[in-house]
Amino acid sequence: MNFSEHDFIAPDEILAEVVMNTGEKRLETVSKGFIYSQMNKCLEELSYHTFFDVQSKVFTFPSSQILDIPARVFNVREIYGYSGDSCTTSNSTNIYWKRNFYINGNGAVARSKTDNWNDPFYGGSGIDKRYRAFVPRDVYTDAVGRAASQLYYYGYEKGQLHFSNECKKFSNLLIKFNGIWSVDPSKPSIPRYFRQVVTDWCSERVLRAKKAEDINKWRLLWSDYAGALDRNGFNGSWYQAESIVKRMGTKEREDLNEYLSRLNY
Amino acid sequence: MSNTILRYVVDDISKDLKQVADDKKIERAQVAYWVLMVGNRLKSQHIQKRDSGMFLHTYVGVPVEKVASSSNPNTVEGRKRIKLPASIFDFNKDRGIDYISYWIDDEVDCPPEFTNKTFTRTTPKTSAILYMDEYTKPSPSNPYWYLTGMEYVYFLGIEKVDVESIEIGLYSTFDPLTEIDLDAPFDFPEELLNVLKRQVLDLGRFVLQIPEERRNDGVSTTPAENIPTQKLISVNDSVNKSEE
Repeated sequence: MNFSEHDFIAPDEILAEVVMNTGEKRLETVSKGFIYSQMNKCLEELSYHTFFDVQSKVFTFPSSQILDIPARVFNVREIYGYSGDSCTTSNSTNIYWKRNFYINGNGAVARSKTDNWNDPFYGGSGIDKRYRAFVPRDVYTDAVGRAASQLYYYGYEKGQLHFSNECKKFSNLLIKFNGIWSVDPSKPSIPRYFRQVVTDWCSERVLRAKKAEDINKWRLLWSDYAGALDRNGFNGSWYQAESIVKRMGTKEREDLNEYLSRLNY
Repeated sequence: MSNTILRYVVDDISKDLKQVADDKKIERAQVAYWVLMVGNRLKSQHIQKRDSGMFLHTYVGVPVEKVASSSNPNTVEGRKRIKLPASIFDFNKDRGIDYISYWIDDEVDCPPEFTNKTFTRTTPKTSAILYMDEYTKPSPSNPYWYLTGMEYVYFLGIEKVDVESIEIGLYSTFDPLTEIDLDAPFDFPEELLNVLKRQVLDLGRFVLQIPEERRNDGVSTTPAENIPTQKLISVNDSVNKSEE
């Protein structure tokens, strides 16, 4: 998240503007809750389309080696295993994704395991001495000579993360996800730079509801706000909001540019 | 405050209709009734045309009751409601009720409660949809009201909190004639008084034009010779059939 945790605007600020824009000062066709709900939907959509919200979550390593992904997050970005607690982090290590790897009961299955016993296509891998004499294999070890079975990796299945045996040495996991933003009507909870897109989104949705009651009266104004939002085009507040998120992280880009342009690495 | 009292209007019209002497055919009470009847119509049209608080009346401390037992129609056990403190105009979308809010009178230096804990209007049928969304669900911070019948306003969302009374703003009709004070300020737009007077005069004139014989005084005016004295018999009756 590349913005301040202290710079949010209150949903009521948006509400105040939306009811003026849509002739709903008396909140007769739509209720206050309907507009809050639309703010939430707008932020949800922005979460999916811009990945603007990144959340770190810490978990105790599950004894089953299977971790349920919690609610209101999606898209795993980073996974680290570490020992210690929140005050002392030690032996932190990146955990890699392994294709087609699943924990099943006390064991695990994978399309390609270390030994690949009797598999006509995959040879064994690693330096497991028990099979070295009998099975031809591509010997693979990591930089410090560890066998594949000793590596840290995870697989993904039905909203769960499955961790390899070796990961059991970690006491905790730190995982970064993309978050699904939620609006709390009782406190400032909308990022300031989304003010315009949320206002236009809510105005369009309110007018959509009013249009359903009296299409001749409201279609024209609805059309104005549908244009202002321009959900699928490039000339409205939706595209501008996406652009804002994409332009963030200026220092990251500057630093990366500098690093790549040195050419003497 | 209005410069006019109802007595001026009634007496003025009674005098113009020449109905002030002791042999008058239209009583003052009847003229007053007409004034209120026409006045209600003109006032309702006036309120709907203008965004004005002139005829909005606020009632505070209106007690909320929890209905103890059901009775038909409109009284449902266990629901919270108020009895409307005055009769209201039946405007579109219940706009006869301008607002309803929690009202707390023991707080000082706080913004008026009606600005932040207002009830939102709904209807019994559409309220079902409100429960389907977390944000629209009725709750103490997001309460709703609905009108059933002419007397009661029911509430949603305050079932589990103790709300003793509410504040309500109404666009109300004139009180019934039996309760109205002829010498109280007449709660009516001054600029429409001439329209009101004209319409009541038209009404009075029409009534005075109704001929006496249109009225049923209980006396038969049919000449005695025209009153049939024999039983009427059908031409198809066997008595009237010939041999041929």
